[in-house]
Amino acid sequence: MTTNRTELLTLFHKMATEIAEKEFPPFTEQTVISDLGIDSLAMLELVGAMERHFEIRIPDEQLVGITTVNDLLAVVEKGIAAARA
Amino acid sequence: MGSTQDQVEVSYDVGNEFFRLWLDERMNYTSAVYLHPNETLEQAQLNKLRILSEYAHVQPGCSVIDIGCGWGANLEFMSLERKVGRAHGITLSTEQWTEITRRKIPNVTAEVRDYKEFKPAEKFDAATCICMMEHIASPEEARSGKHIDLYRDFFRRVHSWTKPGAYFGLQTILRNRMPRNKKDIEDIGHATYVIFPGGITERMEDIVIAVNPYWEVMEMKTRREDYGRTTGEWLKRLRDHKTEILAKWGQKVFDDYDRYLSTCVNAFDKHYQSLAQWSLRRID
Ligand SMILES: C[S@@+](CC[C@H](N)C(=O)[O-])C[C@H]1O[C@@H](n2cnc3c(N)ncnc32)[C@H](O)[C@@H]1O
Repeated sequence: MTTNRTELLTLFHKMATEIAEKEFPPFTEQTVISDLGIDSLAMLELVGAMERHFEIRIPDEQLVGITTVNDLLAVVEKGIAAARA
Repeated sequence: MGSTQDQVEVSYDVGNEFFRLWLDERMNYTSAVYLHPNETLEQAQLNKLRILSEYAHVQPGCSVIDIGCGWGANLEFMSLERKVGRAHGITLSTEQWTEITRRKIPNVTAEVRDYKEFKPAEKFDAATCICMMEHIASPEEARSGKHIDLYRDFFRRVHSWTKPGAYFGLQTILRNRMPRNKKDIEDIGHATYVIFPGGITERMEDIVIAVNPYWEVMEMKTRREDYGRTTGEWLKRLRDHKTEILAKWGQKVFDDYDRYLSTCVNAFDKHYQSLAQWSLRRID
């Protein structure tokens, strides 16, 4: 299974909508996650959903600096790459 | 600066009689060590105290400082079982100090003192600290990266209170992995902010970094399952005394402690938290 950025963004949108139980305005990779009303708790849920979906484990210390959608997706990509190495 | 005195009193001054109902008879409020499957909590607590005395090289006749001494279980053990010449405890809780004084243990002294203000007249041969480090840094300090300096300052102080060659028996909770689901995150938040305000559990790597340049790690053993079993036993005893607790301390206290102990059982089971025992030797 290969996953590109567009697919990841779509997945992010779907999962975030489910977790926050609301529709988001259009956002980009540069959007700050907390601006979407996703607090740190919901962010962890989102990470968990990604981990289950891709069957990966993301180390906690990589979660510390995440602010934008891009930061989060980069960490997920890193986890996918590590799992396939 | 971690938990203030007021915050520590929230955690430990609910009432000595309350904690006596569900802790072991000597009132250890930290993980026991189960060496055999059928051991009681009382036996397992003695195992823990014996291991930490061994890690701290506590010898008959020596002097020991017990930092964050709780209700005095370790002080009592070192006096009665290890025959130390002097065991001194510091705690921030007045209720705990009252209980230690009530026990009238030979060769044991205690004071209500913040470790940041403790200035002993004489240096000690050995040091022990059983799960006090969780009060050193607040969640905000840990988030903003100030915790390692705070832990290192603690290790520097203990170094300055001890004689060359001293060993330090340390027990710490470990924060291993954040939960990924709402309920578990909220439960850990409740334990962190409601039961133990002002503090946060440490990560193992932070301690490894912070002991330098004062202490050398000689041994370290993790005991995640032991803490799971200990908190499970506490929860069972708490529930066994439900009627009495409701009558004397009310629904909120019972519910808070039921939730907190259930959270602990779950957190050790799911690897969110673990426990470590350390034998540290002074770098002279
Ligand atoms: C979880 S209890 C452990 C008590 C005891 N060691 C035991 O095993 O039962 C933590 C202890 O640390 C003490 N403590 C917290 N902050 C402190 C500080 N700044 N200085 C001294 N003691 C402190 C509390 O008063 C309490 O006695």
